[in-house]
Amino acid sequence: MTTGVRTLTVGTLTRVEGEGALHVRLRGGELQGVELNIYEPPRFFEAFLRGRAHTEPPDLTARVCGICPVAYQVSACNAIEDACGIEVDPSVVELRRLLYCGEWLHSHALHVYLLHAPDFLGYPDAIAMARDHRAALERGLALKKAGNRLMDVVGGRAIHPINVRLGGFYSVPTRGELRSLSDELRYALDDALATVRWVGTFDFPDFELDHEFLALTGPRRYPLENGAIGRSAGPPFPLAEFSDHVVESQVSHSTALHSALDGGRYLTGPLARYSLNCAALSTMARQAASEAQLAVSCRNPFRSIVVRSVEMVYAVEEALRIIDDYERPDRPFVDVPARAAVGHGVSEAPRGLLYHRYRIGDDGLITSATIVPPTSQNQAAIEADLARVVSANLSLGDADLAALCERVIRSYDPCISCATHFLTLNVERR
Amino acid sequence: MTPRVVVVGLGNPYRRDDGVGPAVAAAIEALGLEGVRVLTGITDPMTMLLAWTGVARVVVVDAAVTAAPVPGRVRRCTVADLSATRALSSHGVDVVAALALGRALGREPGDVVMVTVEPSDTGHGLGLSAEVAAAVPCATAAVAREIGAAAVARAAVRSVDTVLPAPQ
Repeated sequence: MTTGVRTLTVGTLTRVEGEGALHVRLRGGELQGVELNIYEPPRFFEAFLRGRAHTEPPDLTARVCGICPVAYQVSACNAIEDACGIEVDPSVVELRRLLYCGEWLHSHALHVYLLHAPDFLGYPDAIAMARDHRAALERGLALKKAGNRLMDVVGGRAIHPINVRLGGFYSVPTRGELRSLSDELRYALDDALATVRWVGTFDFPDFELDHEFLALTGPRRYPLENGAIGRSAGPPFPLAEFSDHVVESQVSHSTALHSALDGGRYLTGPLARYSLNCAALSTMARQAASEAQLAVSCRNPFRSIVVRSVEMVYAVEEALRIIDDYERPDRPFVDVPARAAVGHGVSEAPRGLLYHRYRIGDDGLITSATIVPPTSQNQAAIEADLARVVSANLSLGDADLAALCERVIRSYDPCISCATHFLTLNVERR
Repeated sequence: MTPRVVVVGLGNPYRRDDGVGPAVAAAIEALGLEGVRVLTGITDPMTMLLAWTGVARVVVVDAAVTAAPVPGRVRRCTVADLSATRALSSHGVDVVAALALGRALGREPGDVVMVTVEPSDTGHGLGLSAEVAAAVPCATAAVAREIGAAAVARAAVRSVDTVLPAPQ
């Protein structure tokens, strides 16, 4: 070890998704910089989409992520249908929303129970936690299973659904097939409510973030499969102007792009979604939030576990509502003939707003594609929060400081695979 | 109904030889064995737990990189032969870690056997390398033996050519 320089390496940060590293530089007791290094190789999706048929992005981009493929499919469909000037039938929109409820449920159940809860209960991982909290883990598994079942029945299979296509679905379920899910979902509603009560008892470190929030909003509905752009500070803008307001830039320490909103730092994801839309939650979800001490806005990233749990309540209720109201569409899809145009599409992935933009050429082939995933949008905000947390806790030893940084990162449920996989943490003290 | 055996094909068919697990799983599925459920595309440990709860035997087929690789070599091993290399993640499946979580929850299968095939090429693209494609019948037979069907194992060797995509 070089005299005066103290470097701590914590190999493989646990319970995040993807490969990355965090580098913290301290000099003379002052923070010099925090870099979230995402070194997972770039995946070139936007490049290889060029030259593909306009019908292909929903299936191709679903492969960006094994946890949120529906988000990619739906944002891609929304963008291409926008380019082609096609509106899908409202009943098909409801089925997309139902499929999306399944994805939220399975993704949130994984994060809450497998990745995040051990932080609050003092366990190194879910395996150790399971020995003392078996009933809780079983609840998480039941929620995950309910989400998988929804995706299976509506999407054709739980991972990388195969039933989604441009303009709708290849086939649509019968009323009986959807009703067969209702009993399991009613049990899931009890499990989701128990989850909110459970996480509501956790102790949360004091922390208030000051980033602007960006999330979809809807006139009456909590945003899932589509919506208008909403934000907490600046004026909202039409979706077609997304690239004018959200500007991506490269940073040398990451293979994922950083984003700025009108030049400023911002956050997307459950905190933003909840804070901009909690009035649109169902009565039961709002009541659960209130009992778990969630105000109408939540700026403490550690409390995101409560927000995700509330969103599980909503997802189950919404799924039950859609199933109750379901009338099988007369046609599973509408044709979406290609036309030379640009289209924009958004939806609320479990981790936040997911934007797709496609330009279609005269020959019906994609000439350009832009995908802005939530984790890359959140990188700058995560780095800023880490800097504040490190600065406020310089007295901690390296191990405790590293553990705290890991907790901050996990609060955002970053999907590094989506953004470009595991964190190595370096703390350099001079 | 809970199946007697679950065969899990791990791997990504879009990464060439990493797709050998799903390829062997497809060959087993084509045999239509009673009481055998075949799964591919598992990307998280919870789904693995749900799939194997109450099952007598799980056979996991996967590509495996060894210190002195011989592309196409088929091996059988048990979980005790493996070391956990990763922690639990929502975006990956580590059989050892998933099994540890299963034990803690009383959701472990009767036993877990691994059939591994050593890859030659795990680059981007579809299709197995010639060495690994040639090993699929052998790996399929090995899986069939593990699920208690020696006669089926021989049939497996004869039938796999009809269900596998041609190597590219």
